[in-house]
Amino acid sequence: MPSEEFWQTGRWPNNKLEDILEARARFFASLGYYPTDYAKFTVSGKIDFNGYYGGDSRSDYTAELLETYAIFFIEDFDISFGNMVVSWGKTDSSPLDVLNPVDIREFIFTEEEFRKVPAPMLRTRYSGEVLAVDFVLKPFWYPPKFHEIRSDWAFLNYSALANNSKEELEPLLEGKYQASYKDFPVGDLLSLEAGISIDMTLEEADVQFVAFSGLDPFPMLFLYEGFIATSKNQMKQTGVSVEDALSDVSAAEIIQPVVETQGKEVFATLKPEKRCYLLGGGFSYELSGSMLKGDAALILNAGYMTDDLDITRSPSANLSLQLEKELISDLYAIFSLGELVIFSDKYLAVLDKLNTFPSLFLRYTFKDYELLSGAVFDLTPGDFSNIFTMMAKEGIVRSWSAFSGLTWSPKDELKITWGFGILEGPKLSPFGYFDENDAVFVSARYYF
Amino acid sequence: MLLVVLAIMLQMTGYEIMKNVHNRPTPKSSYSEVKMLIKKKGEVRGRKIKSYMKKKGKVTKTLIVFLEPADVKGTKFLQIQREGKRAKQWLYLPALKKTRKIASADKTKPFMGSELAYEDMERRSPDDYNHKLIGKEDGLYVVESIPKEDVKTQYSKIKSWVRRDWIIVKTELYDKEGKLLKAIEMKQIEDIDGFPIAKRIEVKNVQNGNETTLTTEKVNNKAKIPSRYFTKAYLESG
Repeated sequence: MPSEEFWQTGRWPNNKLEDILEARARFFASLGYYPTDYAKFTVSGKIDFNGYYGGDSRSDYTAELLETYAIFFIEDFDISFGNMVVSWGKTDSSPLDVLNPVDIREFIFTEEEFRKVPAPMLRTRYSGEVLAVDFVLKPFWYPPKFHEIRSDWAFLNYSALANNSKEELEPLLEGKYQASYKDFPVGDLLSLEAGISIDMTLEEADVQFVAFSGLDPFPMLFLYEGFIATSKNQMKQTGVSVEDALSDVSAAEIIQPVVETQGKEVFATLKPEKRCYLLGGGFSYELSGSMLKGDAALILNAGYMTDDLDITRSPSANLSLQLEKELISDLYAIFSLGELVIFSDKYLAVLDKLNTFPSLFLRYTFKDYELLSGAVFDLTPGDFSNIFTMMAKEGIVRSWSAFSGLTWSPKDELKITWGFGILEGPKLSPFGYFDENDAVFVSARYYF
Repeated sequence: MLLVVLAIMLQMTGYEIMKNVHNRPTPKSSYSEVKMLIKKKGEVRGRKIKSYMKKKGKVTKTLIVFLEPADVKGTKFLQIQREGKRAKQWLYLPALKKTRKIASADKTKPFMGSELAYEDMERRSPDDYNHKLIGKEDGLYVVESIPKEDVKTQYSKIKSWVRRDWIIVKTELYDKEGKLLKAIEMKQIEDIDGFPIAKRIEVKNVQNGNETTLTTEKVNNKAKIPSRYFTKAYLESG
């Protein structure tokens, strides 16, 4: 269905390099064509007109083709191919939902329906009464969408280079330097990805089993060697943390050119480095009028950045538990618990070996309004090998994020939302990394 | 004396009447297009849906696809009910590409903002209630049904007005305090493909004044509907 959206965000101007106002007009359309009962063609896309006002005022527009696929039905089987989004897992933030890369160009402000990037797939599925088997083949690795630089949500953002002046960062702002997907194995059979899901509808519960083999879901960052050497040297000599070391490094050291490619000089390489394997399952079960859902995934050979800026490979377990309950009439609560356990003996940057992410969201509907509010916490008990150390550790909340939106629907086709988002925490933490992006927003959506 | 005994023997019980209602022949499969008008505090909102139903043995499956308005277009609802057991229900939200299983407690909630609750869309088993024939009105049986203790429902009592051909033409639903909550009336009952179908259903919430009207615009009681329509996979791909 088409829609138009007008969106504005204001940020508190506590950093002269940050955008303080963003505005967007978006047109989204989805078309479905059913020539027979046994075939369906889908095309969808969006056009965004963006304006940014602040430290780096600019405007641009982007046009993106989203899902474009065909599906054919033969009895209890169907086969589809094209650019599509496939969701596996029972919880909202499922560790089994790995088939599509993510769009985090706006992090927590990215709307749910645009959070997944459609990717080329060939899919075959058997759908029985009790059993469904889903097999997906991806011909090659498809990158997630995120900004490496030149954005408030950039992977390397201005706040991470805290002590650098604007002049030093200007080359980055002007786009003279870029990160390159160097040595990216496009078209190489070695980048083929495949997964299988078995879903069963039992008497009391739905259960699912998933197996998947693919490259790193998020490309690993390999910075210019000179920068790494400088930082490691500094840390070794002074014993400072990665965060402090970064703040002492000048932009010039980061953007020292390594290789010239396509007229731009490269300061970092982003690439999926190795193949990972996932094995997992999920369930949804009704428990005393509430829905209890859970997903668990064991990932082999996952890559993580260490405290000394290397990449280490280790198995990890990713768990997600979700409880949905109506507290009183029209007031729903969704409590989630995410757990990422990294079985590594190295010290990691940004993450710990045991990472706990509880969240609570409340949704309240009254008259023509819907209020959605919630918070996600990032807890860090540290080294999980000693439970007594875990229990005694102070400052257990390392970082957190809160979001709230009030939507008014004066008519079915029109939805107006006001809200805010907050991110807090130390610089090298999942939410603290973008803690200068607290914002209020207003959006209007019209459906036709 | 013999005539009195005979009359007593021929008098049906509430349970027998509701059992006949439940066992009344219904289509093995059907397709219909329904327009829903929701009136709330003077405002009117419309919904248009396609509904598919298939019965096999003791299992009834229903798929509802929302066509209008634009903000809910593509939303799908799947219900699978085995006789004597609570129905299983799933809701597919196209924007999120996710199918959500709905909990039983949610079944007391309004269906897509209307005055019909999810549980109103289930076929009630006569064995879940204690029925009592409380009278006759204009040739209709009036049956009062009280849910048994272990039945999950928002209603403390249901009154049904039943025709001699076992069609319910009116239902009154009472809340947990025993007060009348909703009245559902079946109107324009026509014979379509050998089955009586109410082409217009009016639901009135007596307590808040809201109304929902369902008008059947198209119906086919002999439709051939593939089994795959009633799977979670079809919710996502169909």
